[in-house]
Amino acid sequence: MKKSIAAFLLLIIFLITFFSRTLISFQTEKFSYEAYFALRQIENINERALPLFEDPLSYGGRTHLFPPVFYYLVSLFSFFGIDIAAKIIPNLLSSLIVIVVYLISFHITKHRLISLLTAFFSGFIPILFVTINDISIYSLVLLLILSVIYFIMKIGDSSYMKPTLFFLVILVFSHSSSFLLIVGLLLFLLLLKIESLEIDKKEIELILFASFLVLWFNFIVYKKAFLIHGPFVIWQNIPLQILTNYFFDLNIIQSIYYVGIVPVVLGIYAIYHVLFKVKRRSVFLLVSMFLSILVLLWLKLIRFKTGLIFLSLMLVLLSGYSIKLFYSYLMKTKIHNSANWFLFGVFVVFFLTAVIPSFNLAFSSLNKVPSHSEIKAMNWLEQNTDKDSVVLSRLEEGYLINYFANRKSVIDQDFLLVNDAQQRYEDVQSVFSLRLKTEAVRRLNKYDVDYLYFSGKFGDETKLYYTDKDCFELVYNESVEIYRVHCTIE
Amino acid sequence: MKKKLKIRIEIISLFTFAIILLLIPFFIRFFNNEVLFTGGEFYYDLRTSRDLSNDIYWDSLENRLHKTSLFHYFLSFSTSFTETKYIIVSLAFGVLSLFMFFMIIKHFFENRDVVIVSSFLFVLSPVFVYLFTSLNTYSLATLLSLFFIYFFINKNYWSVPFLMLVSITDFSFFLIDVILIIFYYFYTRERMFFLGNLISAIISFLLFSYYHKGFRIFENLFSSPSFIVFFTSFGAEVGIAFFYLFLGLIGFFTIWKRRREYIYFLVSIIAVLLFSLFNEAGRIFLNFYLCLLAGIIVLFLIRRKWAIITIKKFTLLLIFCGIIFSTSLYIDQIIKSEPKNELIESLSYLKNQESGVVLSHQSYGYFIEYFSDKQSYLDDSSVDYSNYFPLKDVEQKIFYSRNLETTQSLLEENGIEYILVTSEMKKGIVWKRESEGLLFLLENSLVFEKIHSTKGIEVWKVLYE
Repeated sequence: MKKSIAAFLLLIIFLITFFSRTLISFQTEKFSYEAYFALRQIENINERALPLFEDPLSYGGRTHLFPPVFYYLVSLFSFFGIDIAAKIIPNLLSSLIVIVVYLISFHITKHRLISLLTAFFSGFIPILFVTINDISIYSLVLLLILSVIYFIMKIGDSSYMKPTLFFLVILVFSHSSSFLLIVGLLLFLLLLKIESLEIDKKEIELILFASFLVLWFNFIVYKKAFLIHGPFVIWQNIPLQILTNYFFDLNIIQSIYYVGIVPVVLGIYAIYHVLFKVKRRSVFLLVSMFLSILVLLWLKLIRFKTGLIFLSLMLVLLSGYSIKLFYSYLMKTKIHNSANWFLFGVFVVFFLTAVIPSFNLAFSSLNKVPSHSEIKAMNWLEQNTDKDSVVLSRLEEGYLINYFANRKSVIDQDFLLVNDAQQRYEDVQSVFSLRLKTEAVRRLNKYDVDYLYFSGKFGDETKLYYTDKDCFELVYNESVEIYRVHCTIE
Repeated sequence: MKKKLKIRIEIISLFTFAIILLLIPFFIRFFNNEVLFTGGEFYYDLRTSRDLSNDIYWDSLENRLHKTSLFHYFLSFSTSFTETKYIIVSLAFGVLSLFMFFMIIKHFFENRDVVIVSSFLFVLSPVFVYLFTSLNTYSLATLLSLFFIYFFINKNYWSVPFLMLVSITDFSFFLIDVILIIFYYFYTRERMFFLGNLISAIISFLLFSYYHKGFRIFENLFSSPSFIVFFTSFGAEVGIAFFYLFLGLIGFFTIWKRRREYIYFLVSIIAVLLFSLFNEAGRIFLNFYLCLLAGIIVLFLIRRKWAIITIKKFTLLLIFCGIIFSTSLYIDQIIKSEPKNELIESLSYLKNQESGVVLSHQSYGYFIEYFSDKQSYLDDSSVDYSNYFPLKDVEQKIFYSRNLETTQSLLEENGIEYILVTSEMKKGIVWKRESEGLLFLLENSLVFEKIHSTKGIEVWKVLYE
């Protein structure tokens, strides 16, 4: 296949991915629940040129710790409108992944058609495709990590050095998951040593420099968190119940559904082939990334969804290698004419097992955004309550309370630098499940709660059992219930 | 000739840079119209030395013996000094210490570059900045120890008086010096020289501690290890920069490959490292080693043949930025330290009030005693006395109770007349939430009267019937 034709087809794949994501995303004007944190940061950058590190609303007032590059990047395009930029830019970044996947796959397989196929796979990984409304920072992080991996594969060519360093620095300044890359790279060096493969001096220097940079930068950013939480900072101070539930909520069949059967089967075969049959350096890098993410997932050092996204990308890249193996094998046989039919067959299976589920999941994610009635309730809170009011809601709704209602929340999904995260989570959960009024009031008093927000959308409860008229005035009741808390316990 | 000129330029640059670096915190505080010296310890030492100059060994404010050491006697000759003269003394200590460190490294390493780079790293280390911008017992003890080490390794009997002086300045420094010379004795086997130093110093230590019951021997000898007191990045006053430890560890493992040649050096590092986990003097000595090891590794990286020159430049840039960053953060910490003008203003106001005990967070204790001339309920020295825990328990009850009767009776029992509340106390060092404990009572009870308030600092008087 000619280079120009491959480039054209790659562009088509990119556009299909981008437009699919964006068009589905624009079926709703809203974002997912967790995206409203990002939206607040982007709006604050627009207004004050700085992110909201000191947040007066989250947890009633707290400090956030994060590198802000991604939010600055999105806010750069806010002349389109913040909501539009927040829809387009993350989806654009996620779509650009297909280009980098093509480049990596071509470096490994030297076959344009297979590389295009792999690129197409990466555009429609269900668990990645479903992030269309998340304003996910991983859209940038994944792109950067894959780019750095590609440049490391090309380390023999000195012209790639400056882009490598540039992307590495941007990655380090974007998110702490740059650690994932470093762990993978260090494991890569270890695997090379174990397999007695030659280690390029340039690789050692670059990987050690990258490790040094990541360690130093993350130490500076997160030292306060390390001081407060100690080793638990690695788990981001997430309450234990949430950490353990990551793995109870999903099973292996569901995980394969989210990744796609084709990348799973072909990717695992590639790992087996590289580890036990033919040792190829460039594929070793992908295998070490895969293994390192698997270990981090097993130790629960990264969130399950995040880990699965990274794993799926590595499996897609590795599946390109497997496809090349089978294709090359078929080309050597008498039925070499069936090699292209093999590729077509893989494409069809992938289409049925990944593309269609991707669209299914993406469309069903449109129902996982705040409903009109929830936003209406939030707006009511903003207009009818004091500015200093504290509103208790479910964990998942915390960002909404801050964004739409502009009121203090008791809990949300960012637990870093929160001293009593575990206790707070248990208290908030129990407020919605308790039957005894005094216990509920005691917990509400502990956090100076003025209003109790109950949507019934999260958790198993369909109503609150203790809300009598003496202590709880039902001030809003339109599918969402808002109670004003009157009582205190001395 | 050119080489000699180059060496001179390097040495002059080193000392000039050291002086400029030490002057930076003073200049900035001067331009902010703040007092130049920070840290409570300095003001406690000033108060002690003033009493010592009048042959007073009893601290009438706190009803206990003054802490006395050679440093307080040294300071007692300077009670008429202005802040500027104290700065000159501090700078002189710093320059002399740097010179002795330079000479010690030069004794062990013929390579001039190692000496220069290690010395620059020493100047940039937070320990150097702390010691010679604050003027305290450690400043003098460090200088004397460096003199002692220099003369000892050169087998010069001038080491004897210096070790004797160290023994009556700070016990921790004396202990570390003794441990180091014991290791050195096993290495050199020069018994007479070793015993001459050791016995003289032990005699001077025993005599001084016999006649000065206030000489603190076990003060802060072993404290609980934690990141907060070990690393300056976490707020430690006398601590190690994380970057220095990182470079030092790399240097250590580099030397470990040739451990037979450097056995004394490596064993002494390990001993000092262990000591530094529990002791501030240990951290100061560890810093000397880390500066040397970091210097060695930096030179190694500069001279190494790199496959990618860009990576070399970026790595050295990263190291440079890491070191500068550590130093600037620490200098910033010093500049923002107490006492600030608001605190001095409030305490000066309190000085004109009737006598009485002042309750506040213990970190303000020394400032309360010096600027308001009143007894502080607790200060940083209280931890060394046997009644500390009962007093601390009472303090906690007063701070966190919302029961007016309980609080009132505790205040009366302990003769507390005034309460000093700062914004830092409200932001986490005592209270974490508004209207917590005593804050609620102060705002809502007629038992307390706010007699002074300025920029977040409040002075409350307790009204007894």
